[in-house]
Amino acid sequence: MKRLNQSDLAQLLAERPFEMLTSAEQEAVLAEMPEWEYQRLHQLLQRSKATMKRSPKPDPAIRERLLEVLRQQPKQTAQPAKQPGLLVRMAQYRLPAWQAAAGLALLLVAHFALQKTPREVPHTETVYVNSTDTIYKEVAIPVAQQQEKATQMRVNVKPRLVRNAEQPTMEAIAYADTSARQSGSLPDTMPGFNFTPQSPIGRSANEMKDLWQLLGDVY
Amino acid sequence: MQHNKPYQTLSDEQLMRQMATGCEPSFGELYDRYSERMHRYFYRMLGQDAHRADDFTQELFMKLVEKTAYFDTDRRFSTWLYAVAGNMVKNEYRRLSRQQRQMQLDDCFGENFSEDIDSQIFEQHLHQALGELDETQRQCFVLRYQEELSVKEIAEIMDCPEGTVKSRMFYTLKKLGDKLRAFAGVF
Repeated sequence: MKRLNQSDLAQLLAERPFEMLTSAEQEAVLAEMPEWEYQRLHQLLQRSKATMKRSPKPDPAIRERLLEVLRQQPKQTAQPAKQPGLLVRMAQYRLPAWQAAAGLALLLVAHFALQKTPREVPHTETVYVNSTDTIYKEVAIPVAQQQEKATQMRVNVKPRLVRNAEQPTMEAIAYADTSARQSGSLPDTMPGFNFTPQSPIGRSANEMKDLWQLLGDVY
Repeated sequence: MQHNKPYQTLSDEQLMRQMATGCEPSFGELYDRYSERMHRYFYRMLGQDAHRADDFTQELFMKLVEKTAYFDTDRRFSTWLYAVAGNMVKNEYRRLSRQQRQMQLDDCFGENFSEDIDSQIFEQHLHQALGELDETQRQCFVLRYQEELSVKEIAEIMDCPEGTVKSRMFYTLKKLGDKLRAFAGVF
């Protein structure tokens, strides 16, 4: 069933009594108001229209008075009505609401679109800066009883650690140490050792002869 | 010469343009077409006072004579004339509101043109009910059911959307129906 809006209902009320409506119109009217209410409003409207039609006529003297005034008016040449200026017409122009809204939306879209354009990539140049760093090198040493720690430990060539190995001589240890240092395979940061390739620390048994001699003389 | 044309066949707008050159027959034709309607409109809108309606009708057509140049040729003459009349009524309401309008409108009750007593009573009540409506509702009702203008024309005269006119029309009808409930079944 089509629902009646207010203007449809007012139109029907002004035009036809309830019995002259189509069945669909009657059904639609009954959804809004009872039949007696429709009839009452319809009759009221008809009677009001008829009553309002009855009204007195204007005084005939008015016509003559107005014509007299017209005769006294200065005659003008027929000319088209004066058009207002461009600025006035622009100021008076009425913009429909949907056009204003569409314009605003367009402006917003354009604004955001312009903001998202890719920015200029800054020009770069590769330069090389001189820098110093400490590098730790991994060295494996033959320490029999500490095999599990051997992979990443500092080089330790203290005699007491070497003592438990396969009895290397002091000369062999000193020689290995010196040659490793000279070849650069050992770090120079071992605590307690001041390695200098030119003057290895420690004495060989031959070098200690004077010490033994001194001790023999004393005792 | 344009003045020799049969004026009855010319449109309102053509007559208005000729009137600007001082053409009396053009004015006469326009007056004959609209004077009764405008008089009736003023009569209904201004408390059913025939003398006041005479004054306002004369003033309206005087504006037509003296200020022909103000007519906007892009508009329909009839809607323009009703719009001017509507503004005159509004100004009168404003003036009367400062002088207890209701009292003056009620004083006009004695004057009516109905043949029988029932019609007189109904007319009085209708007049009172119309007087109790607000200005725009009354104008809507009179233009639609007395002057029988279309909704589009009324919207143009009142310078508002057609939907507003339709809505005002329906609520005015309901309101009048409530105010004239006593007349149910006596039509």
